[in-house]
Amino acid sequence: MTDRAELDVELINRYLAGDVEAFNELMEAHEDRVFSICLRMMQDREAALDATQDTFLTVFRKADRYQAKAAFSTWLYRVAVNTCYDHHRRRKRKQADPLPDDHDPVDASAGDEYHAIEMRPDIEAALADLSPEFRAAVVLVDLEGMSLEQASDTLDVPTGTIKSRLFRARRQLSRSLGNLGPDDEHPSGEDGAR
Amino acid sequence: MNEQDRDLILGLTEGTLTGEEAERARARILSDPELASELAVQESVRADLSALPSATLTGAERTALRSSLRERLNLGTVPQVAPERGRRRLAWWQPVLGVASVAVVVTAIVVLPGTFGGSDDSGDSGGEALTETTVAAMDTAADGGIDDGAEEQAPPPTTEVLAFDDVDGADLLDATRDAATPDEVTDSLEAAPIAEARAFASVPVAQAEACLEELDDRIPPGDKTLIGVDETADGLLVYFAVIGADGVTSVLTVNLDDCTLVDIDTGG
Repeated sequence: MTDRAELDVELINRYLAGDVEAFNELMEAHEDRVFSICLRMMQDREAALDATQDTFLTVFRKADRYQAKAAFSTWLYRVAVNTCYDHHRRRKRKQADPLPDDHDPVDASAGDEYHAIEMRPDIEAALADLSPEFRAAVVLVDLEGMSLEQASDTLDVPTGTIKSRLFRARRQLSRSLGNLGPDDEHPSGEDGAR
Repeated sequence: MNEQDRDLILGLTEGTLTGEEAERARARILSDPELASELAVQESVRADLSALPSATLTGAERTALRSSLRERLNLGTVPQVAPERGRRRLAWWQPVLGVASVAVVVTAIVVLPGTFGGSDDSGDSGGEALTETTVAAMDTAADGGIDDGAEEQAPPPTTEVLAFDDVDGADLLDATRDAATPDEVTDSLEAAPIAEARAFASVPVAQAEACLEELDDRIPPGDKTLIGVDETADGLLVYFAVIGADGVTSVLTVNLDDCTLVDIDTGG
C-alpha cells in the first residue's frame, strides 16, 4: 500500500472517530481530482460541482462501510464516476421531457464563461459524443493519467473491458476530430455512441 | 484486428511493455499498414488528451463545497478555505440561498395569516409580495454574500424563527393554523420545536428544482416556497409551502436524496 493510501486509511479512521480535521485533509487530498473527473464526465461546471458534492456526501456518509482492501481513492473515484452516471441519466431524462408551451429560453451564452474553460472545444464536443462508459475510460486513463489497472479497479470492470473501451473510444474521438475517415472505422461489438 | 494486436498497440501507448517486448511489438505493428495506422491514431488521441491542463476548483467553489458538506454532515460551519475574491459564480448552493430563503419565509409569515387564519387578502397580492421580497433578498445577498464567505456573514436576525429542523409539515401547519396576525404566526413558530437555521444553506437549489420538476404531476400547482430542511437517516427532507390559486396552503415533504414525495399535508 502506498503512503497516500495508508494515510487515507488513517484519515478515514480519524474521521469516523469524530476528528473533523481529518475531513479537511481528505478533502484537500482528493477534491480537485474528484471535481476534475466529474467535470470531464459532465462537461458542465455546475453539474460537476453538484456531482462532486454528492460524491463526497456518499463517501463520508458511508465511510464506516469502507474496507481497506482497495485504496480509499479507488473507492472514492468509483463513487464519483457512478454519481456522474446517475447525474447524466437524470439530465438526459430531463432533456427528454418536452418543454412547456410558455417556455422562455434563457440566453444560451450566459454560461459560456465557465463552459469549455479547461478543454479545447473540438475535444469537448468529441468527448460529449461518447457514451458515458467510453468517456469514463478516456477520462480516467488519458485525462487523469490512471493506468489500465487503476481504471479497471475504479470502474470495477475487467482490464480487458477497459482496454476495449479505451481503444474504441480513441478511435471514435479520432474520427470526430477529423483524423480518421468513416471508412477507417472497423466493425465492433460494443456501441460507443451515447 | 484481433485482441492480441489491440493489446500490443495499447501496450505501446500505455508503456506497459518491457523494452524487449516493445521492440518486438513495434516491429510486428510496423510491418502491417493497418496496425501502423491504428497505432498512430491511438498515440495521437492520447497525446492530444494528455496535453490538456487538469481542472481544479476555484477558491470560492472549494469554500462552498466544503462548507456545504460540513453542513450536510453536521461537522460544524467554519469554512477552512478563504474564498477567492473577484470570481462570480456558485450557482447551486450559493450562500445567497440562506439569506434569500429567510426573506421568502419572512414574507411567507406575512402571508400565512391570510392563508391559515381566513383573512381575505391572501390571493394574488400574497404571490406578488413573495416574488418581490425574494428578488430583493437575492440582490442584497449578491452584493456581498458570495465573496464575503460564510464566516464573515452575520447570521440573519430572524433565522431562529425561520428554521424548521425536526419539524414536519403537520407540525408546521399545526403551529400556524390558528394564528390570525403575523405576530401570532411568529409566536407559534417560536413555540414549535425549531432547531438551528443553518440548515437552509445546505439545500442544493438546482437539485431541489429538478426534483420538483420531476414530481410536477404529483404535487399541487402553485408557487412553491422553501420553508424548511431536515437531514434524516432516510435522506435530506425538504419542506415546501404551496399556496394554490384557491388560497389553500399545502406543505410538501420531499426527500431530495432520491427525489421522492414523502408527504403532502393540506392540514385537513
